[in-house]
Amino acid sequence: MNWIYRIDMTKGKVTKEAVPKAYAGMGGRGLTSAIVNAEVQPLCHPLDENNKLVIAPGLLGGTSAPCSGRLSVGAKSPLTGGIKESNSGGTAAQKLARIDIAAIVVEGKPEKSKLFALKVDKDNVKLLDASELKRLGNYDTVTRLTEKYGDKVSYITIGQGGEMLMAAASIAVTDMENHPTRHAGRGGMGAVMGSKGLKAIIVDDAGIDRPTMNDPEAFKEASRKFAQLLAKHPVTGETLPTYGTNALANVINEAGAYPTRNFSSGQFEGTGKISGEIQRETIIKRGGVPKHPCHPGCTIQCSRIYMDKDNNYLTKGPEYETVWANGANLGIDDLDAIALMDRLYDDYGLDTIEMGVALGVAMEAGVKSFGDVQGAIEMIKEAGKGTPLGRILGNGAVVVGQAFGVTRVPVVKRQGLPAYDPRPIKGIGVTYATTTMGADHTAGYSVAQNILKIGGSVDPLKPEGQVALSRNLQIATAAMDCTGLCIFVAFCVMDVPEAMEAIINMLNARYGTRLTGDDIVELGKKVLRTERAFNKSAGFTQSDDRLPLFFRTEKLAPHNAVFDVTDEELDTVYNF
Amino acid sequence: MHIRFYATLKDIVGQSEADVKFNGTVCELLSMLCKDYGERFRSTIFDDSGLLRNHINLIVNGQNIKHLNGIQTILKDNDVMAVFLPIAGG
Repeated sequence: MNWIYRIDMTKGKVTKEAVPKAYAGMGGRGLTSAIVNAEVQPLCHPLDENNKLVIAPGLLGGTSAPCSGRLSVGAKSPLTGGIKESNSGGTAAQKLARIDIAAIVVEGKPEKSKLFALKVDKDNVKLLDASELKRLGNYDTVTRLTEKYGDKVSYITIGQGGEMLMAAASIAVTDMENHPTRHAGRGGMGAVMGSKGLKAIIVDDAGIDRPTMNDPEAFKEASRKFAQLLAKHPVTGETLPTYGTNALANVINEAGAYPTRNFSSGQFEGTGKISGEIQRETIIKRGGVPKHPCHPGCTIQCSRIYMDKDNNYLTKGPEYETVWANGANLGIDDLDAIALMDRLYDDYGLDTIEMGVALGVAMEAGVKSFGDVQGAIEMIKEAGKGTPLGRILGNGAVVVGQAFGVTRVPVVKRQGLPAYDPRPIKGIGVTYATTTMGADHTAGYSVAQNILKIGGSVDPLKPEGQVALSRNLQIATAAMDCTGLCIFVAFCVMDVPEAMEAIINMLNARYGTRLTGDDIVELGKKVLRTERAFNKSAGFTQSDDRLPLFFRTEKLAPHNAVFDVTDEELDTVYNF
Repeated sequence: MHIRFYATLKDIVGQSEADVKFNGTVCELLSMLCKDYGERFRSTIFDDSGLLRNHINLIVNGQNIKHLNGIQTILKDNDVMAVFLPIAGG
């Protein structure tokens, strides 16, 4: 991928430049973080003209590499105030890569009332007026755009959440059914896009072939090998395709680490009603799709299509994180209601995790009661409408806690914790505390070794070994996020050394490089150092690498565990 | 004691939960279950050498037996054991 397109929203100008040497060899998260660190003033307001929204496919984007369709989106985060990379599935990354685009950098800011769409194809990248899309949800936006551009292109869009500049706003990417169901959810990237007056990006790769390989035969062989290994591994070949991401609900609940009612308990009595198993049964019974790829070339196929009670399309998944955040976390055991909430979030363009955590804090405050299904749906609709309460909710858990005087607010760097309590899974607590992203399970998924026993085993209830585990996973994940590969390939890669070899062979065959495993580790370290440098300049200190104090003082049933990895140990995570 | 079977295992054993009167080790319990549920259950849990398959997770009262005493973990009447095939998500 050879080109960076800069979209100057102040002047309405598009310029094309060759990828400069400073960014050479970077893709995905590596590239978004490098550009943000080099070009964004760390102390700028995330919604002002000094911030930049960077969109980048991974290094293997556009190729036939299995599961290589992740799209990285980076900026200074309106939620955390630090650097952010949020990545999404969907069909856009592969198309951007085929158009030879390494990154789109959206800069500046237009006059307040202006709204634009960016059309990207093989001949042109141009800004178009999009005022007719104002305040439309993602579904209606895609429907309108599809009338004009068809269903063979990809759409990257924001809903009302992004237009209203909410810190929980996501950026949607269309899936293979042309639904806006895959999201760069975390950290308010939708608000940054909204602040630029950019409603949509239309990506049309018509007339373009796959990228040229430096060594086509070697690539084909490595890609074939990688696909075989993914198919053979019991998780990537069986469990994820069969039960989807929500297969996790029961095991995390059994381990006593399924955060319930705003992190007040580790087990939810209604898990059986919202588990991956019951979800699969429901989907099959209603004629939905129980196994489904979110982009062409995904061999794991952990996505699914969920139908409502009348057997009509409702939403994708919903995924484990969404089911937890809006299920157990709210004391809700109604899968149809959770699926409806997922649909609303996707339509408004709001992060299902941040919103679920925010709703949990609101329920703790008594705005609605835990278990109140209709109350939860009403709160989400308030966010979509932008009422005063809705704007509080749409700006995340911290703002809700401040507005209602709640002291138990489960966040790190102002970002809501995902679906694993860090007291009985201490490794993920280390990741939450120390990642540059704010609480983010994907940044170093210690749950694999702590609970699932994939890629090793570390006792989740003891503090020993958690820092080293998280450090190594954070480095590996940062490198993997540069490739555009889905994080789920890691379940295979962590167990099977040949899978990592296959990835390196694909990269080398694609670019004519001679990368080794050590180079990949160095790449991961470089990304983390870059992000850490930005956060430091933005004002972050060691005290930001901490979990809220209640995780150290409130014992969590059933293990009565507290988070007891010491601050001194946490401060060694970046000793590499 | 109480046993819970999840995902495909539920289909293999034909039920999601079972109550058994048992005092002994996890190893002995699994041998008993193999007799009750037959060859498909046995070959799902154990490999050809008779070792517990990689990634089979047995969680007793919220703790993986790997962090207790492995298959020699002693089970008591009120214990709850959950049996998981290789599983992940996120």
